Amino acid sequence: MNFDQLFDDVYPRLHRYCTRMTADADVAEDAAQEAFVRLLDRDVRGDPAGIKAWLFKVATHLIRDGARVRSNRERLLKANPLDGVDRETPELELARKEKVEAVRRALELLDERDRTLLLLREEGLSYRELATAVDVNASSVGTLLARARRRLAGALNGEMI
Amino acid sequence: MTTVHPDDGQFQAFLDGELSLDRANVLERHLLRCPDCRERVAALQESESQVGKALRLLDPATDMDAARWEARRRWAARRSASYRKRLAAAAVAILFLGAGAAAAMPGSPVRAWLAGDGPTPGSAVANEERGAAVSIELVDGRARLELERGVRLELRAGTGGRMLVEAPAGGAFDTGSGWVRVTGHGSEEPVRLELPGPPHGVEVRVGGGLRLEVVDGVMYVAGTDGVRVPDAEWLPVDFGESAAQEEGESDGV
Repeated sequence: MNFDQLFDDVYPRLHRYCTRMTADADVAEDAAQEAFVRLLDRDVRGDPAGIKAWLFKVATHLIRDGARVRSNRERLLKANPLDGVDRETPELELARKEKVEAVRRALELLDERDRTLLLLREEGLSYRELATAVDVNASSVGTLLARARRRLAGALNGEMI
Repeated sequence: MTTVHPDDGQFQAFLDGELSLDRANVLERHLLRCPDCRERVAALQESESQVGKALRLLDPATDMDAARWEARRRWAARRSASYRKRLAAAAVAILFLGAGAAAAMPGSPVRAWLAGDGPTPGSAVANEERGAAVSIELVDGRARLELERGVRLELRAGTGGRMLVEAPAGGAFDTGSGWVRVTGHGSEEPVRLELPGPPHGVEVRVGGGLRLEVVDGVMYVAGTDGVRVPDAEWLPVDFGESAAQEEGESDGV
């Protein structure tokens, strides 16, 4: 699989994962692109599934190491949400903003490992890849995922009532 | 008899298709006879559905072309910067060695200059650049690529403001303000040129004679009509007979 094919296949999911993790469009785009830059720079080879897991792992580390993420997230919780709502009516836009902020607050309630695990799983990583990414035993991934989803669903119910 | 109920982690792995076939069959049989566990599985599915729906609210719009361009641009810039640093260090070392050797030679201009009674020597700038890709800024909205004869070229339109040139291993880049020269290219693989977005122009010279021009994403080779350069697929450039003829004429001048 060449670079362009890999980019087309993985970038949208990686970008979405980074956006969900950071709640910051700029930081997310930067992390997703930087992961691909490092892929080119280090000439990483292997099967596409392995490279995909590697890209998600690099992006996760980039996000974790980005000191400005947390302050940005807090700032963004108080400011505008991501792009894409401009064409809606003011009422719909407001309702959407509130929902987006509620989801972000609910995600914030998860600890970092659970949030990473859950969001990586949403992008299709296998239990083995998840275990490597967050450094846990593969046999405990199901339990951790079930718990993370239950907590997030509970938090969402509390937020969105 | 006491029934052992699988935990939520087992059911989650079951729903995610991560259990072995044998283990999945065991859970399936258990679910058929255990309404409590069926409820738990339904709750897990409900959570998954609710979480997925909520997370989709956060999803961004992705401009794939811009993102691809930016990733390549950053990579090329990084390689270029790293290489320039090494070249600068090498150039300084060579200059010092050369100057030292020249100063040691009786009657050399460097020796005379050091003694304060001769002209200032000229400076040589090493600008050869080897690597897989290089990205350059345009000058007055234009950039120039120079190729050796016989090199195959592929083009596609980009979206950024820079020109990106990729050459397979074996190619050497020589760059300057607004231009790139690819030399020493012995491979059958083509040189790839990603154009800056409109309205910028790009000129490609082959062997110093033949000229190809791209204006607003339309490519013109001497004696041919324009062909629009696609923004996704690579377009192989056929220089054609008339162009080859022009190259010959130009060489004869």
